[in-house]
Amino acid sequence: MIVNRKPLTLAERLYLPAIVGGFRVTIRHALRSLFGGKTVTMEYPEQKWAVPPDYRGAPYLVKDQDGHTKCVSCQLCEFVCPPKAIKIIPPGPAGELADRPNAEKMPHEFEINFLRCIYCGLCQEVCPEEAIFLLKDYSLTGLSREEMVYGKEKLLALGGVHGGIQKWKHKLEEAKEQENFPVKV
Amino acid sequence: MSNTATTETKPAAPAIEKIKVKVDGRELEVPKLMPDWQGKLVPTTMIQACELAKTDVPHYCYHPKLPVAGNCRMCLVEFGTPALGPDRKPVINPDGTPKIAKSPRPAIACATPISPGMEIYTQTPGVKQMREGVLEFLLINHPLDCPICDQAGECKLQEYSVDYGQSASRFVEPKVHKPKAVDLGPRIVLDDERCILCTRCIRFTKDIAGDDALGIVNRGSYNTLTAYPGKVFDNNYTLNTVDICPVGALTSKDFRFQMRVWFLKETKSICTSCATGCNIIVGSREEKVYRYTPRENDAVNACWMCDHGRLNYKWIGRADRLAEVRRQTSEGRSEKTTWTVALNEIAEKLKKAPHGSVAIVASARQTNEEFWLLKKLADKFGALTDSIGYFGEGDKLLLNVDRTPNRTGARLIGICQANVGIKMMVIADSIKVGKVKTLIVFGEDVTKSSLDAELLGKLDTLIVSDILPNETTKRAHYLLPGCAHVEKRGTFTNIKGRVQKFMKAVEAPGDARPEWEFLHDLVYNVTGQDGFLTIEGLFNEMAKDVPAFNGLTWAGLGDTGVTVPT
Amino acid sequence: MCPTIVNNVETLCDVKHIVALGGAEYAKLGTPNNTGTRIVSLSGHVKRPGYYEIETGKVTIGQLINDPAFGGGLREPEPGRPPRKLKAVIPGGSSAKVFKAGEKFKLKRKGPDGQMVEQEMDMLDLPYDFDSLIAAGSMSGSSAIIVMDDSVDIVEALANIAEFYAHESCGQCTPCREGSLWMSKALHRLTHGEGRASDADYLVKIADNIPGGRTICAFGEACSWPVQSFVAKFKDEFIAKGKADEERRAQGKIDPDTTPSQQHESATAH
Ligand code: SF4
Ligand code: SF4
Ligand code: SF4
Ligand code: SF4
Ligand code: SF4
Ligand code: FES
Repeated sequence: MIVNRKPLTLAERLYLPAIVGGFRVTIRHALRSLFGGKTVTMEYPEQKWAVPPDYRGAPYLVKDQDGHTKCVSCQLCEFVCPPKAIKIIPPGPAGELADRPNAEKMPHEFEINFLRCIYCGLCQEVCPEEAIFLLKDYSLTGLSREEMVYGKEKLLALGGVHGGIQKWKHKLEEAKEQENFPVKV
Repeated sequence: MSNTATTETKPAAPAIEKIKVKVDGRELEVPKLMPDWQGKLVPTTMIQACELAKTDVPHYCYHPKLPVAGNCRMCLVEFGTPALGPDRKPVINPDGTPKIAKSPRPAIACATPISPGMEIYTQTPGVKQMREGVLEFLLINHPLDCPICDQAGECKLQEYSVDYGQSASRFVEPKVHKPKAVDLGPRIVLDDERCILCTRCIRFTKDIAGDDALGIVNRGSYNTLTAYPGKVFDNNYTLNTVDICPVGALTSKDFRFQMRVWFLKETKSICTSCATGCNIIVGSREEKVYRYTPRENDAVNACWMCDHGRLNYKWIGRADRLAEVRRQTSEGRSEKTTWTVALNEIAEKLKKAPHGSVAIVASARQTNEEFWLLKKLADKFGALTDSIGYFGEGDKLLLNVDRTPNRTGARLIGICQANVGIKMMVIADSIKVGKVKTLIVFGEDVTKSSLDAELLGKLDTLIVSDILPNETTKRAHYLLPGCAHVEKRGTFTNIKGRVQKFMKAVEAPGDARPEWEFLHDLVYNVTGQDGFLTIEGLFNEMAKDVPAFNGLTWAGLGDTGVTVPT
Repeated sequence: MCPTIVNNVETLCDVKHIVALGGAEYAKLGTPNNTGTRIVSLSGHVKRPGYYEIETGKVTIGQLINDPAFGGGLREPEPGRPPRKLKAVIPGGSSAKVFKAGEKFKLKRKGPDGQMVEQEMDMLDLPYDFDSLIAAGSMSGSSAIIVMDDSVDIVEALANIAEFYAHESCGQCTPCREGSLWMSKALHRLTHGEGRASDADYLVKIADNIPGGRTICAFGEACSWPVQSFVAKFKDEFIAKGKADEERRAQGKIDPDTTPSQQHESATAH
């Protein structure tokens, strides 16, 4: 079906009303801060912005309540990350064991390149272990490109602790409970 | 295709009677008999008929190359057969079609033979519900280790969960727990919680590999796969069980926690570790090879390959790979140079070489195309040519005594005799008496053969192309870095004369170039012959020229190759 | 490997009769289409449990339970308690579908005039043969009759049966292997203070996925029929038990009878 466009009216052809409309919010704030005595800008970095609770800042790795690495190196975040900011080196067959009992696997190295990260939050969403979260940091700076690539230790230190279900620990406890069931091996 | 080259190794079987069946309402004719896992003709099963009808029947325990077990119950389908009246004649509907009596009970498609007029239903609500039921049962005690499971991404349990699984589990009981990370043998780790007890691995190792090493102990839900007590699961085919295990119960120690499979680029290739030439898939990511897995080719390796060949890839990424073109200066110093300089200088020297003063030692690991180009050089200079054989112990299944992938090709093209290496002594003598002044060596450390370091010192020009450094490369006047087979394209001819092609998976390091490319340049510089700048063109030219390959084309080789008379 | 034949006691007893009487004479025993004899293994809450050989179809279930020649009636109550009432009968081994006391069936039988007539009869009046029990939705199976009086907790009884089947499943095929233990675990939970009112439906949904040709052998049917029939016929008891557990848990009370240390004991007590 072809929809014919309505011819533009004079006001539309002038574009001016549209421009004014587009700038309405800007202009309102400009006038208010000029004459209304109400500033909407702040003296950053002396003054700091109050981060809203659901803000998505930089993604960091977190530890569980027992201080163990939650990430199991599944590499789903590496796969999903649109700008390919994440690089994980898996432990391999001879790599160090996970510091979490019963989990078998954790990353040998985990890097996020914060020059690439777009804070989209897909890594947090895809993570099956609740091991990576977008926290509140929004102004990451560095003097070199290398400095902007955060390694595993740094990400874990910045991420802090995030409790929750300890899936692997639960499995261990459940395995012990099996002994008490009447139908046995 | 010419009559010298056939895609089949066996003569055409006598015509098999066809019978009509209906799959989901679509009528088709299927052969009454089809090959079973041993290739023996047996009555066609429902699952084979469905496959011919391009209808997917989900299955776990069924594998076309293994005896049927029928234990997973995932392949249950409903079916009907023509109803028979009291007179044992088919009942006919008013519209003239035979009346179908639907069976009250389902049947497993993997083990139930078809009969004329049978109707198979794979999409009914009943079938869907049975699949959902079986899948739920498989999942209730499954550990859901996917984040740490090497199978994730190529796991049949994951795949069918997408098709038939529920978004949430209604199972609220504690799961059954079994041994994890069990060391089954030198190359295999077993996670019993992930095992769905399909017995594929047991059947493979018993009936294919002939090593009855695995079995199931305990009853009911506590069924546990294990190796026979005190027995190590270490035959030369153990890693095939990792491939056929539909889940992540059996995993390869070599590939353990190395890379997630969804990152791997898959390239069709050929195993180079023996003359059988098993078809493989090379899994690589970011120019690193992570694994070889077998690729089905019924004329060569069915679905299998041996562990020896599978794990023989680590050298490809070695740090000391030759990556620079080097030449020796007049002072005897080795310096880096470029391909153009080196190839031009070599061409100049070769052009001046008198007839019979050049010898060529090729490697039986080279491709047909490379042999053919070397043969062109050899013909031009009346050069002696030979190769070196490598032999080991073979077995009945796949591993051949000949540990090189292309000795047959070298022989068919005329690089070596049936008795490989027989001319090496002649070459050595010719160097000794000063007749041969120029030696071209491809991919061999000749100092380990009759051409020792002292003899090499007598040469005017030693041209060496190789992949890894050795005593011969150290002495080369011209060192031309070549490619591993995963870094180039080409064809090998296996021991039975099957010409098979392989594709490029990763980039070669540094300046290294495929041998056929610079050999082509050299042949052009020396003889002026041109016209095969692509591997396709080169192969087709070769096929015209070499009698054994007459009639072959690169495209005609397909993915699984063509057998030529040897 | 040599083939091995394991004969049932009943088979050997039949062989003895057939040899002694001759096939034709033996076939005259019993009722038409249900010939010969059966050895009934009567167990449960009757005065005289034991093995009784009967002519097939000549004796009813009620007679087997109450006749002084057979069971001799339900066992005596404890002193000072009212007499026992029949609750349920499993007519053909624990895998057969259960009959509830007072259940009525409409069966087609040959009337006195030789015509087939539909006749309503009580569970106890069913003749003990193959066809009648199948027509009533169960089977005479192994001819092991289990009689349960009103002292029986039907959920506990089913838990006991399910536990047996979970232990006996060979584990070859998926539905029976996983389903039998799942049902047993659910029933274990239900009999140990962790039940839910929804467990009745939960059990039936599990059981429905096992039988009907989905398994390699008939054990799949054997382990699911009791669950299907028990829950269908005594659903209110399953729901009541689950509800009671839910309420107790909601109030934070722990049932003194089912403290964890006792769980194992009570599960194996019967
Ligand atoms: S927030 Fe987005 S861009 Fe940043 S690491 Fe996560 S997935 Fe990648
Ligand atoms: S952070 Fe989460 S998604 Fe990323 S590798 Fe670790 S476990 Fe997987
Ligand atoms: S076997 Fe499949 S479903 Fe099971 S943990 Fe591994 S990937 Fe997940
Ligand atoms: S280990 Fe794998 S192949 Fe073997 S029985 Fe278990 S699921 Fe099947
Ligand atoms: S149905 Fe039979 S074969 Fe299948 S698991 Fe049960 S007992 Fe074994
Ligand atoms: S594929 Fe048919 S039963 Fe497993």
